[in-house]
Amino acid sequence: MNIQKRRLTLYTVLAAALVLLGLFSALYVLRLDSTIREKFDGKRWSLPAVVYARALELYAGLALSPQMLEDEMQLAGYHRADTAVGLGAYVRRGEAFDIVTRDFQYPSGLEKSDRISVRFTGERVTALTRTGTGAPLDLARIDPARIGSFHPIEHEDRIILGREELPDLLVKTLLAVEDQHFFTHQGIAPRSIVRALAANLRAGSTVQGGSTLTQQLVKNFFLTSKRTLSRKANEAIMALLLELHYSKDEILTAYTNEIYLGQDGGRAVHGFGLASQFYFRRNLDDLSADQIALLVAMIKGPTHYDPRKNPEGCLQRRAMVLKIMRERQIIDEERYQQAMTAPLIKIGQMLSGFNRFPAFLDLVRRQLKEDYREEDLNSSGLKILTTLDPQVQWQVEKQLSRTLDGLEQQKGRADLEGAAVVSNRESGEIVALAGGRKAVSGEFNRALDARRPIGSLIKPAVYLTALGRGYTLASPLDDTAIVLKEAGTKTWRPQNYDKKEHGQVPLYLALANSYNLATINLGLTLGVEQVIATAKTLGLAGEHQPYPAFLLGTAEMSPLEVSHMYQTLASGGFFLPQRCIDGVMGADNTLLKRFGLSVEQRFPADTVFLLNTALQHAVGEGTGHSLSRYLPASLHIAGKTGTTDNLRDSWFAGFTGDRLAVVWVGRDDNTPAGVTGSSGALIAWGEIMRSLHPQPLVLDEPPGIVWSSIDRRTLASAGLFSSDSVSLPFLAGSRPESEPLLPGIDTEKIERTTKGVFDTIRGWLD
Amino acid sequence: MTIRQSLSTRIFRTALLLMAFLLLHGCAGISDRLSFPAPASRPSPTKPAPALPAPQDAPAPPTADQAPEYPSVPAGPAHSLFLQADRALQSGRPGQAEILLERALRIEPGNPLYWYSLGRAKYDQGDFTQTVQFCLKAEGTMGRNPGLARRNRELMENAARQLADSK
Repeated sequence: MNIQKRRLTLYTVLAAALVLLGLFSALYVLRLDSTIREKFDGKRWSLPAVVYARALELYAGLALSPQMLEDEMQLAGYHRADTAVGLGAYVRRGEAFDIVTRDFQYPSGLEKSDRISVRFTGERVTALTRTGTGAPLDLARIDPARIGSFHPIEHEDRIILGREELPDLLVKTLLAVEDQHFFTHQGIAPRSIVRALAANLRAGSTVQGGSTLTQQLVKNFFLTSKRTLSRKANEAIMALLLELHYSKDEILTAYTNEIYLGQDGGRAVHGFGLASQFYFRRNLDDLSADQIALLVAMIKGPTHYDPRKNPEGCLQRRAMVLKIMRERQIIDEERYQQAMTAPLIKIGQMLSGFNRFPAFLDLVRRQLKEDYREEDLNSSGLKILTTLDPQVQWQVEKQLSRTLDGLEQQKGRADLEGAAVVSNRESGEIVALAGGRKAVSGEFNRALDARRPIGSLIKPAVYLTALGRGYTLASPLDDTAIVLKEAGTKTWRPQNYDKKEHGQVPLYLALANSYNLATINLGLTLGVEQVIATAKTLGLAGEHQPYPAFLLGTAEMSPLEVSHMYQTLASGGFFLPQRCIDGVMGADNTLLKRFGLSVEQRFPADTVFLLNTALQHAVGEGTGHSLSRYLPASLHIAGKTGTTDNLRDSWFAGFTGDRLAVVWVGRDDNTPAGVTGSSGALIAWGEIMRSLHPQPLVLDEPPGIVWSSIDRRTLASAGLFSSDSVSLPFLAGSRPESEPLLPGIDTEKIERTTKGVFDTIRGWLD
Repeated sequence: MTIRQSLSTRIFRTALLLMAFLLLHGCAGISDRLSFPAPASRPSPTKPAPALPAPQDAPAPPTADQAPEYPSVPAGPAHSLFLQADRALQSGRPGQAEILLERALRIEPGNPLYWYSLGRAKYDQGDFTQTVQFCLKAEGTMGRNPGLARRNRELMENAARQLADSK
C-alpha cells in the first residue's frame, strides 16, 4: 500500500514536472517564435543612406576628355569590356565609347538603361548617338556614382534584391554547395547533422558543418556565432519555426541578402547584390560562372578566402565549387574549363563604396541632420542625390595638395594646410570641397570648421556699401594715415601692406590694390554698422561688433561661409542658398525632399555690376594680377586676395563665367604661415581653375550703365589726348565730368549722399 | 627724344580717333563703352554647348486655349530639356518642369528663357515670391529680347498682384 502510494506520488510529481517542463518549453518556443516573426515581418535590415554624386550629362559640344569620361564611369562602377552587352559595361576604342547605361531612379522618375555611343575630338564630345542605329541624341545621362553611405555603428551595407533578381546559376550553385536538400527539409536536416558529427568526431575537430541554409540564416539573423549547445538548440528550434511561417523562396532571398561576404575598409559587405558590385562592378545577373563560384566559395569564410589576402586559398576553394557545379551539371565541361582558368579579380577592378570624398560627405551629413534624425540616415535606406562633380573634386584635391607641397619648398614654410570650396556660379550648387591637403575621413574639416579672420576678403562689402550710396568707381578716396582709438583700447595705426600712403586714389583702384587706409577711411565715412549690414545681406553669418577693425577683415569665417557670401556677388546680387544636395529619395524611390534652386535679389544689379567690374580690375591689375601666370587675362576673372596679420591666413575668392571658388591656406596652430593671399591661396586657386578649363566671365550688364574713359591721374573724363586712361562703367547720370577732380579734389562732390568723412574720422583720432 | 616720341604718339592717336569718328559717324547707337572689361555681347552660355540661340520670342504663360509655339530650331541639349519642361508645364506638372529647367540651366545658365520658365513653374505651383525672383533673374540676363522681356514683365506683374491680393 505504502509502495503503491509512493509510486502514485512519484508519478504525480513526475507528471507535474513534465507538465511544467512542457509549459516552460511551450512558452520558450512561443518567445522564439515571436522574436522570429517580429524581425522577419518587420524591417529586416537597417539600410544606410546611400550618397550619390551628380549624374554626368553627355551632349555634343561638352568639354570632356575621353579619359575623364572613363574615370567617371570607373567611379560609377561601370566595367570595361570587349563588347558592351551587360548593364554598366562599356567598350573604349581610342576616342570612341559604346556604353550601356543602367536604370536609375531620379527625382523626376525612372530613367531606363540606354545604349549610347560617344565620340570625342580632343577634349570635347563631338557626337552622341544611339548605339546600333546611329540616331543622334541631344542628351544622355550616366547614372551617378555612389560616393559613400551613412552607416550605423556596425557599418553593414547591402543592396537588397528580390527573389526574381537572383540568377538561376547562383541559386543552383548556392544550394549545391551549402544545402542540397533545401527544398525538401523542414529547416534542419538530421542526416546531415549526424554525418557532420561523425566526420568531426573522426577528425577530432570541427571539419564539417551540418547546418542548413535556414539554420545559417537564423544564426546570422538572430544569434551569436558562439559554438554552444544552447545556441545550437535555439538555432534548430528557430529554423523549424522559420520554415513553419515562411516560404522557401522568402528564406532563400533573405539568406542571399543577409550573408556576409567581405570587408571594404570600415564597411561590411553583405549580400550577393552588393558583393557583386564590390568585387566585379557588375549586376548579379551579369556574373560569369567563375565569379558566381567565387562568391559562393567565400561564404565559408569571407576573411579566410578573401581573394585579396589569400588568393591561393580562394582559388582552391573556388575550384572546389566549380567542380561541384560541373558534377551537378550546373555548368558543362567547356564552361568549367573556362572558369577554372579565369583570374580571381582584376587589379583595380574592385569598387570601394566607402566614403571617398569625406569632406564633402561631412557637409552633406550636416545638411541632412537639419531635416532627418540620425537613425533615419543610418537605417532607412535613403538615397541622397548630391551636387558633387567628381571631375572638379579630383582636381581640387590634387591641385590643393600639389600647391601646398610646392609652397613648402621655400624656407620657413612648413605644415601648411588648406581648404577649398567650389560652386557653380549661377546655381550655388557646391560641386567640390576639400577640407585639408589630404582627403582623409574623420580629419578636421577646415572648409567647414576652420574659422579664420578673412582679411581683405571683407573689402567688397565696404565698397558695395559705397557704390550703393552714390559713390562711383572713379570716386577719389583718401589713402592716408589714420590713428584710431576707442575708449579702453590701445591706439591703432592701420597701415597699407606696402607701408606707404597713396594719397587720393580712385575707388576701383583702392579695392583692386586692396589699400587698407582708403578702405578704413571710406568705411568710417559710411559707418561700420552699414558695412556690417551689407556683409550680412551678402550672407555673412553671426553677430559682429562695429569696430573699425571689422573693415579690414577681423570677422572670422570658414571657407564655406566666405563662399556663401561671395556667391551673392558672383550671381549678380542674387542671394542663393548654397546647396550640396539635390534631392532625397526613400528606399522605395519616392521623392521625399527636393532642394531646388531658389534666388533672392538682395542688391540692385547695377551696383553689383560696378563692384564686380572693380573685382575684375583686382585680378587684371591689382593684388590678384599674378593669376595671369595660371589663367589668361581674356577670362576676365573677378577676385579678391586676403591676408591677415603676420601672414597667418592666405585667402583668395573669385569667380569665372561658370564657377566660384574660395581657397584658404594657413596653419592649424594659427602661427604665421609665411604666405600672402597672392603668394599662397591665389596659386592654389589658379591651379585648380586652370585644371577645370573655366569659361570667361561676362558680367550681365544691366540697363542704364554707361561706360566712360577716365583719366587715371585726374579721375575726370579722359580727353582725346589722355595717355593714361581706363574705361569704367557708371550708373546713368553719375559719369564724371570733364573737369579734373585731382589734384585739388572737391570732397563735397565725392561724398554725395554721405557726409562728414573727416568728422567721423576725427572722432576716432587721439 | 622723349618729347618727340610723345608728340608723335599723340598725333598718331589723334589721327586714329578722327578716322574712327568718321567711320562711326553714320552708325546709329554707338556704345559708350570703350575698353576693359569689354563684354562684347550678350552673355554666352557658361558651359560649352552647341550654339543654339534661345527663341527670340518666348511664349506667354500658357492658358487653356493657347499653346505656345516655338521657332523650329534644332534641339540642343539644354533646349531639348526646355521643350520637355514646357510640355510638363502645359500638362500641369510644374514640379517636373522645374527639375528639367534646372538641368537646362546647368548647361546654359545665361539663358533668360529658362529663368523665365522657372518663374512660370513656380507660378503654377503658387509660389509667387519665387516667381517674382526668377523673373528678376531673367530680366538680368535678358539682353535684347523684347518679346521675352514683355512676357517676363507680365508674369512678374501677375505674381506681384497675387502676392498683393494674398496680403
